[in-house]
Amino acid sequence: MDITQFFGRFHVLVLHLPIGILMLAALWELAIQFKRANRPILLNIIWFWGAVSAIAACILGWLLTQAGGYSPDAVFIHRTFGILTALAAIIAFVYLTYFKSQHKFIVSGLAVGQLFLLFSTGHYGANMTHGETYLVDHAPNIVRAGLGFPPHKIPRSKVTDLSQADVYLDVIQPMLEKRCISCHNDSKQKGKLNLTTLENIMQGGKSGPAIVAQDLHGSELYHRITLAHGEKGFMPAEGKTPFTQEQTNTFKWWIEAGAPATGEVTQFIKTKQDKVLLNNLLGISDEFVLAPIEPISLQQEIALVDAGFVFKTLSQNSNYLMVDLSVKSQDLTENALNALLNISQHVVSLNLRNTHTSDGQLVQIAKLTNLQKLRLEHNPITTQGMQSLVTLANLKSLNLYKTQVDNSVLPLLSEFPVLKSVFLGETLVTSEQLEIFNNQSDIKIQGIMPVSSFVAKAGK
Amino acid sequence: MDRRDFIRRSLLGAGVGASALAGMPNLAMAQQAKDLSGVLGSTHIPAKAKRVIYLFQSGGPSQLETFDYKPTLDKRHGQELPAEVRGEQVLTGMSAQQSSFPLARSVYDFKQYGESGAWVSELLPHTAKIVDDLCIVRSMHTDAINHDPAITFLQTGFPIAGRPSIGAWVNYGLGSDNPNLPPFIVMVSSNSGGQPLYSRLWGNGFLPSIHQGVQFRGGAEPVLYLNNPQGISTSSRRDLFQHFKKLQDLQYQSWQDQEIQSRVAQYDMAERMQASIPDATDLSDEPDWVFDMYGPDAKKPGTYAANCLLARRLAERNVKFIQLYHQGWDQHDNLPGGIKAQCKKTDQASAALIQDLKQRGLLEDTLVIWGGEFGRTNYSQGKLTETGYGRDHHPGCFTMWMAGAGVKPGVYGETDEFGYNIIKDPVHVHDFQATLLHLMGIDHEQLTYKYQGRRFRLTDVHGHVMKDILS
Ligand code: HEC
Repeated sequence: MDITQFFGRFHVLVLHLPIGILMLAALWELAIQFKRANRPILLNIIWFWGAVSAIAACILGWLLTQAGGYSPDAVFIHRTFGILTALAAIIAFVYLTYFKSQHKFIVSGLAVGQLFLLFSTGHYGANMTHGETYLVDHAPNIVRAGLGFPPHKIPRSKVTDLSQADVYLDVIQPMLEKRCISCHNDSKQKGKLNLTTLENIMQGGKSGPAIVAQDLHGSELYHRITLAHGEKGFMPAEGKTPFTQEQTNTFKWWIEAGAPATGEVTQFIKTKQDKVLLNNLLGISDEFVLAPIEPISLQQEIALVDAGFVFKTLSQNSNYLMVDLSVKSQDLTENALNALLNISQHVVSLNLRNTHTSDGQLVQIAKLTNLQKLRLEHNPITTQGMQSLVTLANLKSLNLYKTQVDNSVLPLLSEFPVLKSVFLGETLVTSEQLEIFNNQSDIKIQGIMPVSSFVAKAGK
Repeated sequence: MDRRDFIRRSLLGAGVGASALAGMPNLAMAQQAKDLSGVLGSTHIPAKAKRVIYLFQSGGPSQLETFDYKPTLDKRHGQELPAEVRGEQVLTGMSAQQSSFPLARSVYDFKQYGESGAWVSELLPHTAKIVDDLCIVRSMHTDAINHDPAITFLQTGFPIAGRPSIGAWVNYGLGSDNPNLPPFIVMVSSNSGGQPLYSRLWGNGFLPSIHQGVQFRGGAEPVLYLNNPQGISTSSRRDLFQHFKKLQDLQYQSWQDQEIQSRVAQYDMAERMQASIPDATDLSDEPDWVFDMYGPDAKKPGTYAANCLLARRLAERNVKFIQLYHQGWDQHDNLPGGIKAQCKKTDQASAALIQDLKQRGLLEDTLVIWGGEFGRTNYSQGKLTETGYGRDHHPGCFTMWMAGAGVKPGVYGETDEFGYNIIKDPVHVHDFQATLLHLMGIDHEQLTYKYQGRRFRLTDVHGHVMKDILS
C-alpha cells in the first residue's frame, strides 16, 4: 500500500471541480461585462472555491506523478499549466473581491485567461490518460492534416500467402499491438518499456533490451511471456489475455531467426514446423493456396446439374468447386464427364463414389489439374486406370476403397507428387504389402482395420 | 438478386436440369435453392469438416471412471472433500444436505495408451485402442447443474428451451449436401433409458421448421410408410402432390408464411425419401466383419451400436449433421455397476465408428464428438462403502472427446488433483460450439437470425474457437 498513491489517484476525481467552478465564474464575469449587469456578491464565493479546488487538484496531481510511469515531458507541461491555472484563479479572486474599482478590460482579461488555462491544462492532462492521439484517432484526414498529424495509416491488407507477409509488420507488430501496447506506448511506459516500434523494443526498458537477436535467454520480453501464468512479472500484467502457445512460439522463431526488422516471412522459415506455425498464426490454410479464379458460367452450372452433380464453392471467397456425383445414384455418363471437363480448372474435390466410373474415364479425370481430393470408392477401377492419374500434381487424398486395384498400385502411388493419404480397404492389395509400403513411404496408406482384435473382444 | 442470380441459385439448389425448369413453380424452386445452399451460400472459410456425428451421452457420464485419472482420490479415499477445493461451487439439492462429502476413488483401474499416453479406464478397452485418433478434452465446463437445462445448453447454447439446436443452425447456414436425405438426422438408442429427451433438443427454435432434426425410429423400420398404400400408384401420388403444391402456392402468395414453404419442402423430401431411405438404412449389404466390429448389438435395430453403424452409412451419403443420443449415464447411486453397463453398450461401437470412418477415408472430413452434458462429483453422493458409491452432477469439469476433421489428436486441458476444478485450458460450452462451427467453416459470430427484434446466434455473445486443438 502506498498512501501517496491512495491520495494521488483522487486527482482524477477532484480535477473536475476547478474545471466546473472556474468556468462558471469566468463565463459569468464575461456575461456581466457584456450586458453591463450588476455583479452579485455570490461570485466572490465561487471564485474562492474555484481557487481552492484548483490548488487541491495541483497537490493531488503532484502526488500521483510521484509513482512515475508517465512521460516526464507530458507531466511537465500539464503541471505548469495546472499551477498557472491555480495562480490565475487566486489572482482573479483577490482582484475581484478586494479591489474597489475594477477595470473592465482587466476583468475580461482575467476571465478569458482563466478559460484558456483551464482548457490547456485539461487538454494536456487528457493526453496523458487517453494518449495524445485520442481526439484525432477517428478524425477525417483533412482535420488531421490541419492539426499536423499524419494521415490515417492504410491498414495492411490481409495476408493470404506467406510470401506476402512482412516479418515485423504482419507477424510481430500485430501481436504486440493487440496484447501489450496499452501499457507500453509513447506516453505510458510501464517498466520504462515502449513497444510501439522495433527501435524502442531493442532499446528496452528498466532491465535492458527487451529483445536480443538469437538469444532467447537474454530477451527479457521472451522471458516475461514464458513465465507461468500468474507468476510475478508475467506479461501481459494484471491478468490481461496472454499470448497463445502459437504466438509465444512465433516470438521464439523470430528471435532465433535474428529478430529481423523487415523482410518476407518465407526468408526466415527453416523447417516445416516453422511454416505450419506461421500459416496457423496468420490463418492461412496450407491446403488451398490457389490463384483466384472466375466463377463458372450459368451454362456450365446447368450442365453440371443436368448430369446429376451436387456442387458447392470452397468458401464464400473462392470460386473453386467441390463436386459430388455420389448422392443422386446417377452414373458418370459421357455428358457428366463433359460437364466436368468444361470446368476442369475449378474442381478441387471430386466425389465419384459408386458411380460406375471406369478405368477409361480416369484418363479424362486426369485433366482436372487442380484436383486435391478424389473419391473413387466402390467403382470397377483397376491399377491400370490409376496410371493415368499420376499426372495430378495437386492430388493429396485418394480414396480407392472397394475398388479392384492390386499390389501393383503401390509403386505407382509414389509417383504422385504431393499425395498424402490413400485408402485401400477392401481392395486386392494385401495387408503385408501395404505394411511394407507404409514403413518406407511418407504417404499414409489406410487399409482395413485389424478386424481380428475386434472379434476377440466382442466375445468377452 | 437479379434474374440470372435467381436462376443460378434455384438451379444450384433444386438440383434439376433446365428441362425441368419450365414446369416448376417459383415457390418450390426458391425453397429448394435455399435448402441446398443455406443462408450463407457457402462457408465463411474452407471447411475442415463437411459433416458431424455427435454421440451424445445423456445423463452426465462420470469423467472420473472414464478419462480423468486421479491418483489423489485413491490416496484420500473416504476423506472429506476439502472446503477450499469445493469453494463456491453450487451443489444440487440431492447432495447439498449431506453432512459429509467423502472423496470416492474410481473402483476401475486406469492405464496409459497410445502415443499421447492418455489415461483411459478399463471400462473402455476399445476406446483405449483408438486414443491416438482422439482429442480428449478434460477441461469442459458448463453453466447448468441439472439435466434438462444442461443438455439444452449444449445443444442450443442457452439453458432455457426455445432456441435452435446446433444441427438446425448448421442446416440453416450451410444447407444440405444430399437433396434426397434430411440434412439433420437424429437417432435415440432403444437400448437405453433414463433422464428423458425431448424433440425440442433437436428442434428448430425460432428458425423455419424445415431446419429441425428428423428423428429415425429405433426399430427395424427407421422411417415408416415408405411404400405407397395398396392400390395407389406412384404416378397418381405424384399427381396428387402436384395439385396439393399448387394450392399451397396460392396460400403462400396470400399469406407469405415461411411455414407453408417448409411444409411443401417436407412433402418433396418425403417423396425422395421413398427411394433414398431403403438404400441408406438397409444393412443387408454389410458383411459380417463389419457387424463384428461394432459388436453384438449391431444386428439389433435401434441399439446404440446399430445406430453407430447407421450413422456411418448416413455419413457416406453426405448427411451433414447426424446426432445420436444414448441415455442412462446418471449414476447417483450404484455408480460402479451402472457405468459398467453403460460402457459395455457404447464403448465398442463408438470406437468401431471411428475405425470404420477412418478406413473408408471419411474421418478426413467428418467430425465425431462424444460427451454428455456435465461431469460428476469427486465425492460420493450417499453412503460410501467398500465397493459402492454414487456421484452427483458436477458442472465444474467434465470430459468430452472429438475426432476427425480438423482436430489435433491428444489430451487437452487439465483438472486439479481432486478432479474438481479446472487448472488448465478451460473450455466452456460456448467455446466448444464456436469450435464446432469453425470446423464446419462457419464464423460463429457471423451466423445469426433476427427474431423478436434482436439477432441471435448459437453462442449468444460468447465463445472462443479452441485454436490450440485445431490441426
Ligand atoms: C496491464 C498493463 C500491462 C500490459 C498489458 C503489459 N505490460 Fe509489460 N509491464 C507492465 C508493468 C506494470 C511493468 C513493470 C513491472 C515489471 O517489470 O513487472 C511491465 C514490464 C514489462 C517488461 C520488463 C521491462 C524491463 O525492462 O524491466 C517487459 C519485457 C514487458 N513488460 C513486456 C510486455 C509484453 C511483451 C506485453 C504483452 C504481452 C506486456 N508487457 C503487456 C504492465 C503491462
